[in-house]
Amino acid sequence: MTKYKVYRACKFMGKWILVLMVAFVILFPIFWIFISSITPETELFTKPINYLPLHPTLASYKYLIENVGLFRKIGNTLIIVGSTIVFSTVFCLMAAYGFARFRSKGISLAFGFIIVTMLIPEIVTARPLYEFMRKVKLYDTYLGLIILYISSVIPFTVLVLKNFVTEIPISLEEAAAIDGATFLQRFFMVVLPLMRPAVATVCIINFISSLNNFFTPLYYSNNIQVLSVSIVMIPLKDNNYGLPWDLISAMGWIILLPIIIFVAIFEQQIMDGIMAGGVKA
Amino acid sequence: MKKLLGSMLVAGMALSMFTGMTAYADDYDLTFYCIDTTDPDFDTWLQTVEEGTGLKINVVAAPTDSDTRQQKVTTILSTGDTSVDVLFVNDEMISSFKNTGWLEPIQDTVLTEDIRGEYAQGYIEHMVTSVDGDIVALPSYTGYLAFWVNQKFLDEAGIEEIVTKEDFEKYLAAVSKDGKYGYGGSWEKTYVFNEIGSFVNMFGGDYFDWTNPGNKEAMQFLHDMAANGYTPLDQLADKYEQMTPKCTDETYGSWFMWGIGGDYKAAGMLSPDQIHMQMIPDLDGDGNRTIYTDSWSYVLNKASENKEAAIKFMQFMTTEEGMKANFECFDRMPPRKDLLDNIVPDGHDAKEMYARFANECYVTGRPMVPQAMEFITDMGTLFQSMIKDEVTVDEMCEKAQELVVKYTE
Amino acid sequence: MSNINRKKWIPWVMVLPVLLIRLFTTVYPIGMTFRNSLFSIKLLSGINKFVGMRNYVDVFKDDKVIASLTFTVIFVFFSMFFHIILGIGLALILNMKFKGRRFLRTIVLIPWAMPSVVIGIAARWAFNNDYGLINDLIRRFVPTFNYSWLIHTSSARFAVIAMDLWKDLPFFAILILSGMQFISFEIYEAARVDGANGFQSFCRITLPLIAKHVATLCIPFTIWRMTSFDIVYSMTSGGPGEDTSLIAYRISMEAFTNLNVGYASCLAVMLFIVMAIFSFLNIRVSRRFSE
Repeated sequence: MTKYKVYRACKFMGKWILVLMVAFVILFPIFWIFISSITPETELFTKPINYLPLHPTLASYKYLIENVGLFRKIGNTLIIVGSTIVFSTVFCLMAAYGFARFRSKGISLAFGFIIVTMLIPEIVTARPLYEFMRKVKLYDTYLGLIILYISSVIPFTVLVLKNFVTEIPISLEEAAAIDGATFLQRFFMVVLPLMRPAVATVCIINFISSLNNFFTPLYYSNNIQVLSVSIVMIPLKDNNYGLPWDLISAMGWIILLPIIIFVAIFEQQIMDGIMAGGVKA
Repeated sequence: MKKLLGSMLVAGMALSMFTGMTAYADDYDLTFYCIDTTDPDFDTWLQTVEEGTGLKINVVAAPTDSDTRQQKVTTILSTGDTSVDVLFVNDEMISSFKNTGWLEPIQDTVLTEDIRGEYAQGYIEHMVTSVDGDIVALPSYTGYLAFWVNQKFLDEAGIEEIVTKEDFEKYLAAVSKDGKYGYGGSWEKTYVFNEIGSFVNMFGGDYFDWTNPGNKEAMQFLHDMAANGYTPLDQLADKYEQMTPKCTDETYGSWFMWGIGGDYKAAGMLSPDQIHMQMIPDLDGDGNRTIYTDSWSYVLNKASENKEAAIKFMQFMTTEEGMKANFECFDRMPPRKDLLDNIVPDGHDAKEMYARFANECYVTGRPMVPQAMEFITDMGTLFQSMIKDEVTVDEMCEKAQELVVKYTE
Repeated sequence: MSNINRKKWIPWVMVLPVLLIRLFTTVYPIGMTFRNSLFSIKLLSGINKFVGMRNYVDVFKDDKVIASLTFTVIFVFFSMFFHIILGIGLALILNMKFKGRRFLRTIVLIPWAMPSVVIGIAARWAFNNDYGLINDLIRRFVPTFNYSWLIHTSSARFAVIAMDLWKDLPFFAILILSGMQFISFEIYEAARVDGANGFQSFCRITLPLIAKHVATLCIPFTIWRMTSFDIVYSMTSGGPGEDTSLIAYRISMEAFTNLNVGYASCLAVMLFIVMAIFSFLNIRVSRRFSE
């Protein structure tokens, strides 16, 4: 019996060592970025590194909040990213179901098309797309930006969701159909609830990547400013070339904060979805 | 779940009411694309300018990161986009754009003959004049790539001022020990060309002619500095951000840098006894000194529909009032030498040296070609191979000449 | 396929919004890219003329492109290799039952959520000899350690791959984790009753059941590795020399900095072909897994 207890103890310790190692590797650089953001500029780079700043200061944050016009940017960001999440989730769920349950030649082709369009880096299509957006008068508009954002998350979201839908046995839907459920009822009451963990995961991912997308709003609009673009607008140093690390690290955290909050909230959703039980074999 | 979906849909529909909204700049006279919007004094500057010109200006914030900015600006100009009138661009961009016909010439309207002479001649001729003789950009300030020294090390080495090659070698040898280096720089492949050019100048060479013996001497000197441990190899990965702490924590004894020393001042190191500018050394002994100047300039989009307003704006920037606003809000030294006294008060850290540079040196823009970044990067990569002894100094000069021919044809 | 969904127009209605949006934003640009690849368009010199396949031929003679391709292959291979191994490992760790599990799952997304620009600049500092995080930690054990990671080819490449893994792995792991939730506990219980230990239940149960999921995820992730350039851009600018320049970085340099639009389009088309072939093969393989 004691041998087993020792084994259990080792296993427990082993688990914790692993967990701590992972946490360290992930958190340590983040921690450094954080302390950089609260260190005054002149104390930033020392040898050896001071892991606890001698004179912590919020000057960088203060500077950014005052000069980068954060509030207007946050407002724009919420509108654009919010709409993107809502519409893309709805559309992609529909499409995922369509692609997963129906296998006609046309549908497969459409799916292939969606995946194939992922293969050209957005940098290259930027110029022609820019001219196109100007031609159809969607340049520098909220609608234009939202369409572009949604478009950029579509391939991945559809791919992941489709995969999840195919995991759900068709027998469940057939059983519901036998009980007299219509298509809409089957979709909303059988398929959707089972997709909860996937939907929550995909929402978080799309939220984060939309928030960090700075090329699209930068390139396809002039006057609509969003939060992520501020990262490349940090004022240069005196010699007009240098990038101030204290400000950049602070900006990184300002962008990170809403994400952490968002994830913390939605984490609950994922946990609920999992607690409700996976698919019974 | 349904409730959540429902409320999300409602929210989505409410949001979609915004979709028609745009932020048109219809009631503005001028749209200005500039990088200074995040400066704390920007609002003051804008107000001064609007009052001085009587124009209503819509400002679009430009990225300060150069590659990102490059993407947007080249697209705006090359597609004849009318949404922006005046842009604030740097040297690399001007040298790329000046011969493309995307910029409106301003020699008759803004940089007229009467004031042209007050700007740095070398810079005007080489940097902002197109191959057809049109002046296409208006410099907004003067910056010099000055030579900086640490007075403490000079005193320890018993040298008053680094002028000749012997002085410099003596200084390098005296300082370079215990983890310190007599000279330091940014040898990252897109930054090092500044120093390559400065050393070529100090040895009386010509950046566009690598058969000139001065060039070879300069490269040999740099190579030997690295080989003798007078300057570290680590700086091959350094940009200015990585270089500055090494200057302020006294790892480096001398270096080239732009600006008036704001970073050193913040570290409490800027003073005649510590870190300060020095006249460019005359390493080939011929009495001639050349210094690089850079500037950010105003350019007028040829496709602009508000040219009159734009010209008014740019004219204001040639006046004392305009330059004063730039000086007071952004700490930028005025580009006109006749107005230096009026605008910059005596006792200003850089005033004396800047006046000396303007009067004692041949002031010129850095060596750039239309394919500016490609040329800069190729030269930088070549230099890095030479320092790492992957090619000899002679081979480097040969290849450099090939690059010059390739990019200037 | 079952016959409960007989109406033919249903799938098309479901798929239409996504399809339309995607078509709208990609047909014209991609079409133009293919067309541009057959032209020599140098915006700075004002050249714009049809040259047929000449761009494609020039690609093979371009040293910088060849250097980028070399590193891209190395990068994609090593990064994906470790993505899979470490990703599954991390997913298993996150799946274990322990007290701080929720906390770990949340913080694990932070590297991925940080803007790449910030991470790239942080990485440039972290690998700096004098002021960097990495050397500082090493110096706590070996006080005289001095190494400038980013000026030597192999260590610079290592650093770039390491940063890519650090940033992207948690994301991959979370997706694998989501897939794992579909495996019901009962299967594990049944296996335990039959006497299987942890390792065996991993190999025989977990692995096969997530294999298809992992294989599917490999498609977008490999594509992203092949088109990634954010980290390189802020961390090394492709240096030293061109040794850490990825092909997507090269393309964006040609397209925007050098303004050789035709040539850049040609490179993009070639990359597209490579990725299309790869994706096709990958789909084949994952189909085999589901049988």
